[in-house]
Amino acid sequence: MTRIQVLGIGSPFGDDRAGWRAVEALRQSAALEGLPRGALALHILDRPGVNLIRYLAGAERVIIVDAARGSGPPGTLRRWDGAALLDPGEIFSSHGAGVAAALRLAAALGPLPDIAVHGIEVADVGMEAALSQPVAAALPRLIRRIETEIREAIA
Amino acid sequence: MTDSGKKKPGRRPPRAKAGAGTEKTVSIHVPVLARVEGEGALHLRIRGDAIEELKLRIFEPPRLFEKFLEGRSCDEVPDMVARICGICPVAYQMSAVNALESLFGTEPGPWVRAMRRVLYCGEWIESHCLHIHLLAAPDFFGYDSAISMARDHPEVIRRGLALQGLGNELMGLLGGRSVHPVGVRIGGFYRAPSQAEADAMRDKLEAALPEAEALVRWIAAVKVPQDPQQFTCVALRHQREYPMNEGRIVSSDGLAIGVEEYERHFAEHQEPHSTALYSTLQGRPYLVGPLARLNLNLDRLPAQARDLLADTGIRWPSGNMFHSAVARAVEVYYALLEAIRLLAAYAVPEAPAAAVVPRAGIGYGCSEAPRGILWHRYAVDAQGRILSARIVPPTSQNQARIEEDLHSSLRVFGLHHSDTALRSHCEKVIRNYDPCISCATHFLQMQVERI
Repeated sequence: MTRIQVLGIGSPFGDDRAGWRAVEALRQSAALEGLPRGALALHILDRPGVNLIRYLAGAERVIIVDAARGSGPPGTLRRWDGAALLDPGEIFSSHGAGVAAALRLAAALGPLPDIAVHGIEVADVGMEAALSQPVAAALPRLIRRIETEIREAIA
Repeated sequence: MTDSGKKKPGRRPPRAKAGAGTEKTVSIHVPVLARVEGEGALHLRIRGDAIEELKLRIFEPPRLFEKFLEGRSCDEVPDMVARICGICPVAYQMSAVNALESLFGTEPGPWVRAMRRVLYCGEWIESHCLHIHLLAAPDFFGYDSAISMARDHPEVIRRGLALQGLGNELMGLLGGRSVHPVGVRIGGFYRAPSQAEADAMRDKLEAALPEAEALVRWIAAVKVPQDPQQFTCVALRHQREYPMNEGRIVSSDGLAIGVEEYERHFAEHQEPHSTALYSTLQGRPYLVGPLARLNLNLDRLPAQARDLLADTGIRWPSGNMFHSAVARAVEVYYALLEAIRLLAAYAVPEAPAAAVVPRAGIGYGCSEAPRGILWHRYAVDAQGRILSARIVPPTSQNQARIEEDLHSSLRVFGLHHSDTALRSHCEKVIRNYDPCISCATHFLQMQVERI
């Protein structure tokens, strides 16, 4: 069993890559070197929709990193407890269920692991690959927060 | 899609008051997590007991890509178009490589041809299972979403998610996803799966076959509205196979044309109320998608699938759009059979792709996306750069047909129902087409005027 599973969620559109970029950086992170085998798994997912549910199985704790809207100016970081996302605010779709909808479906089917969701407020969700300046500038802080969270969870 | 995050009003059922010029009351809903999304909106004006105006607005992401592709190297096209849809990247890749290879005179050979079918099977399984279990089933059983249905019928939703996951894995075998697009290229694939990978996949597919058969029997037994309609079906048709990547474009009215002749028969126009383009065939709406495909290709199914279809007790071809869900289930079963057949003959090839030499000209490609025919045209220069691109997705082809269906279905349903009941019925009707909009449970912003 993997103790901690980190899921970077996104799409190839501008700031929507933020979750991918965070996990890519965690893969290279010196702060996470030397962890016990099986303690940590890092995944990058393109609009997983309900496939997200498959990545919740078999982990004690899941850390989700995703682009967010509505939490402040671009680059704003927020952290939600998974349980807080289970309220019926978000709507469900087969063309790409959002994270909250996928978590709600998973919760309806069985018990969930501990889930934390890190959101980074995005500016441009456009056709280009580059992150906007405020998101790129906030990314190192987001990565450090997640590193700390992982280390504390494993300690 | 709800992968969403844009501030957008009207994610909840709008409450419309009686009277002309009614403004709907909308709740502003700001979803927490962001993603590119589509949307749908329906404006309905009822005068007395007749529909005076019915306008459906659909947002179409593929159109943004046409401009974006200009100036790119043709080699980049399969990766770029895979981004258009998180659910059906393969369809966009397949239509693109078909178009470019036909222009370049590339012969990818039997191995590539077979593996492209396998890849497409994965996408059909994935997309159809999502639709059946998460959208159609809650509609049929009177649940407001798959989440509430999952509490009462977890086994149904679990089966759907397991089959959908299997479709996803099958796509993964050939690299169909777009995070790091390493799968499809012009001429074939970047890499061939090992014999062991292919064998393991085939075993999983075989194990899932009884589940898919149960799925067909289960969905066919569901009571659906009886609302037969007259409409023209359009799909690809191949000499021997159930169509995916090859064939002529045919209609139930006797049309049979080459892919390159599409623009001579099918026209697109814009309606003032919509940014989307409406496709018509000789001036008339038409249907693409699983029901059209099945209606036109019943004789191309293998005996095993035909027998199962006969067991449903439904008369095929069917003019009842609510049989679309059954058509999807049959295609899931067929896709499993077909992938098993093709993987049973699997051997690692000498090379996973044929050599490609670009040349200037115009290439046309078409394939059967889960939602229906997806037509591409590319103008390319001598260096293999894209001069212009045209992408006609299934959703825009069905748009005029959806409006026609709504007119007819609402008359049958009865306009005296409450706005909420009308909206719910409209969503079910629209959902049969699995349009590429936010097919959320409450995806439709609807405005009703009663005069």
